[in-house]
Amino acid sequence: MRAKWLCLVALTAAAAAGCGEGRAIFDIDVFSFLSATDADTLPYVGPLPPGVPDTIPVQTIQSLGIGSSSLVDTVRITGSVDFVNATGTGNVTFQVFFDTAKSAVYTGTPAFSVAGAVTPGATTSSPFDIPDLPTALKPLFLASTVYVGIRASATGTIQGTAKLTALRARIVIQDKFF
Amino acid sequence: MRTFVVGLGVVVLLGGAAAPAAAQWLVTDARRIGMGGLSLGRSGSLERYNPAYRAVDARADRRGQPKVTIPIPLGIIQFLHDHPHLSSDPAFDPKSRSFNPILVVNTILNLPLYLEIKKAPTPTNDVAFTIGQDSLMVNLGAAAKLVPEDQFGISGSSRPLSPGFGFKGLRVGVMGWVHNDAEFQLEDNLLGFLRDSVPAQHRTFYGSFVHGTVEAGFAPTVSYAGRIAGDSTGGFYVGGALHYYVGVGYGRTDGLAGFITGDTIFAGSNPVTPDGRTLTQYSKPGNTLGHGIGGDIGIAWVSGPIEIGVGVNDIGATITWPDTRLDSAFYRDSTYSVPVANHVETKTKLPVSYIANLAYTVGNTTLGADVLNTGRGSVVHVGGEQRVGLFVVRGGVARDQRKRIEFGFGGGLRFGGLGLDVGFWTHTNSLSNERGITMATSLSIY
Repeated sequence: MRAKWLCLVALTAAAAAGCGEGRAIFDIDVFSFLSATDADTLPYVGPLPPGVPDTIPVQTIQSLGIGSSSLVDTVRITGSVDFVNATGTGNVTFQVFFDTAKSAVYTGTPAFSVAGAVTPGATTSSPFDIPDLPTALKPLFLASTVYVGIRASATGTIQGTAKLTALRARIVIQDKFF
Repeated sequence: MRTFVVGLGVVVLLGGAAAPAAAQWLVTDARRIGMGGLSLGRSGSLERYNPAYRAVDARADRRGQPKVTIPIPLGIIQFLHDHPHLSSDPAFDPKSRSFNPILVVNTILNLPLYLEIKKAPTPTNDVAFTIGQDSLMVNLGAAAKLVPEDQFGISGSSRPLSPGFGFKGLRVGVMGWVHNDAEFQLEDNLLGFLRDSVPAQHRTFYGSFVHGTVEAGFAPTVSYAGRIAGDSTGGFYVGGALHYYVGVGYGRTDGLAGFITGDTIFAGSNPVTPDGRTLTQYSKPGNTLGHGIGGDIGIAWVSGPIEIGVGVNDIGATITWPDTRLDSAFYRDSTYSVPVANHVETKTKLPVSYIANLAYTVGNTTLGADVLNTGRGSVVHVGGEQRVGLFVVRGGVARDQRKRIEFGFGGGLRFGGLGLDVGFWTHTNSLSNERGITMATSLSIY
């Protein structure tokens, strides 16, 4: 609700200022939403024991609520994740999910994945830059609320923590949404 | 949601563009456009705002004033060519992806009566929104300078009907009158947020001051206009009118409207809360009529090649409304209105309008200037025309209510009692800081 009102003012102002032929670019600091609820850190264990989750609870991002008739040109995702490995040698795969239905976040395919090789007692930083998300996912960012989930899966006998240090989404709206 | 945003966006667009719109006018005479909007003789605003001009000879032969001017609306042809299926044109359909509010607003502000030969470019820069869990910042880029810093709005005072009868300069009639005024001013927080990209703050009000008034009625009027010195070729003219204003109804609202941020911008327990508070006062038609007395005065002096006039309207026009209701409305998540008082007396005041004009005619050359103020700042026109045989060349310059300079130029061709005129006029009443140029054409019958 608050996002709608704030964006309403901002978007209205944008129209008043004459962005009719320019693009509207939304730079969303997704990390700030996750870190506010301590959802930016996720332990990983390999092999995963039964009953141990490899995901964070689904988090909510107040998004733009522009409307389904608009067209998202590109959704660029940038950020970085640190794999703070405690023991073992193997690989960790870090996956990020988006959906507009909270219950469906982890049932679909991940928006993107980041993998990193880990060694005992070392921290592996894995920056990522996804130029554009798959077309099917772009309309999600027109909704007023977007849910995000993170999964960290390990191969090998390893244990550690995946710490997200940055996650931004740059959304370019192609059409005149006013 | 989109429709709501679009609707509100268009409203704000219109509001934001109201200042430039009010500074312009809809002139149907290409001659006047060619002279930068200058009023000469009994044309344009002179007779409306200077009661003495009712007695001044039309002097059609001297300044080439036509009896009738018929606009040639080339702009409508252009518009219909560009938008042949207006009812289904996606650019005008808010539900369409191709809906273009800039086009809609520009069409309203620049009614397609005349041909737009140079469209004012709208900013094409990207607009960036930076959003975080506890942050919001908007960067409008070069377009930020279009966010109005000062008060903006639309106001007008008109006299739609004035039936009556007269004898030897004396006239008795009944004049209809309408006054409307809508004003907005962004308060500092919202102005900084939009114009200076100041990040949104916690627990802060963002909004606009709003004011609106509309009132209407009729006024039995006794007026006089006549020449008190000189003859038909020149003289000193005076005019005056006494109005007894009868108010049929009025409404006025003043207040603040906007929203208040919560403890965090995009999270936390307190969402952004719409917030509005107004004091509304009104006297509906059917209540006791309002009343007041006011008047107009004007003088005009014509001597040889020189013509000078000054007129003032609605002097002392204060309307007393004896049966007014006052309501205080407060909105925060829910609306409620509290009656403050009922059957109380309130007063409104019609804006004083004035015009001053000067014209100088020598041979086939006419030069002139006028200043018109209708209560929202002065508009200045300076221009002239040179007649050379069948041809006329015109030029002029104007300063509008926003103190912007606009230019007019044009010409005409006259065959006996028929004339064809063309006038070019720069304007900035588009959503742009650059000028566009309109070409007006009209047919004149002499």
